[in-house]
Amino acid sequence: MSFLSKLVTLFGLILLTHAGYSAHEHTILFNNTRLALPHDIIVETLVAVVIVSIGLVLGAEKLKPISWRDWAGQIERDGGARNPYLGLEERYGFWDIRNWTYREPVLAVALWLCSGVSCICVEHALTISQAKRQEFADWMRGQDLPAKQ
Amino acid sequence: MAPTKQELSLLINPLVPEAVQHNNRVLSSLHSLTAFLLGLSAGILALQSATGFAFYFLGTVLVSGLFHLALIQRSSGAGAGAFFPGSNAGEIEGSVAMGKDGVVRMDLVDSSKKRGGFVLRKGAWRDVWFGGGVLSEALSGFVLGWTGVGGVLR
Repeated sequence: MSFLSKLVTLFGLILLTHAGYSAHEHTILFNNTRLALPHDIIVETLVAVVIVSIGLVLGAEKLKPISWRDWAGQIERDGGARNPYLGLEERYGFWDIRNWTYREPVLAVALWLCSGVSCICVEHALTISQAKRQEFADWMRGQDLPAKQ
Repeated sequence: MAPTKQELSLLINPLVPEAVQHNNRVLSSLHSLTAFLLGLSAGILALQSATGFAFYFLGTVLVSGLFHLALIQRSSGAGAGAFFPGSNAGEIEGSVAMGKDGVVRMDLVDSSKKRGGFVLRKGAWRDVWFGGGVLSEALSGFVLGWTGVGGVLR
């Protein structure tokens, strides 16, 4: 709720309270419910209703687009910090388990058990897979070069 | 059986349930607040029976109209279709149909720059004007304010 809408709502509520108090006084003074209210009280009440309505509508929370397309587009334009799939999009690659010889996992598990630092084996696996990826890329380039010539 | 237009709409342009809930909550809280306010003023004006209910409906029309105007203005002309699923539960404006070859073709009418670039849902204005508990929770709030103020003032 912005400051302006709060101000407008407050002003309308003050008008409404004033109209209500005036109606109360009028009833006490004439002690007759059949007597019609003066016009100024009626007008004040109606104006107060319109003003408070405007204030509440302006102060209503912002709506969110319901179509997945528009909603996701808005998140992307805002920088993607509210993306609910952020955890899936930014993660480590898969381990290349084919490169693990018999001894390495045993070594890693032993390390993990001994030191209690599980990060080490993850890092170890990542370096291995990185090295392997580099090797694969080099091999691909080697395959490509003669084909281009 | 061929899928209906509504099913195809939801398949190609899915809804975000969280956003739908949020928008409905905003709308119903606005209607509850304004209905109570209308009840207070109906009590001050000492309206009775049918006049009071006529006042409620006029006031609700005013609030819905203001809300709709604000909606159109804030969404650069897209209107209610971008924020409410409508009476057909998410059917889009424009055409979406599956051909005999099984290919679904969609055509969003004037969804370009003119209307904010949103996907619009058919009949969404009904949600703004009749939704948000206008005939249920908000009405009971109105009667509460009406009788309360009427009892205190007279």
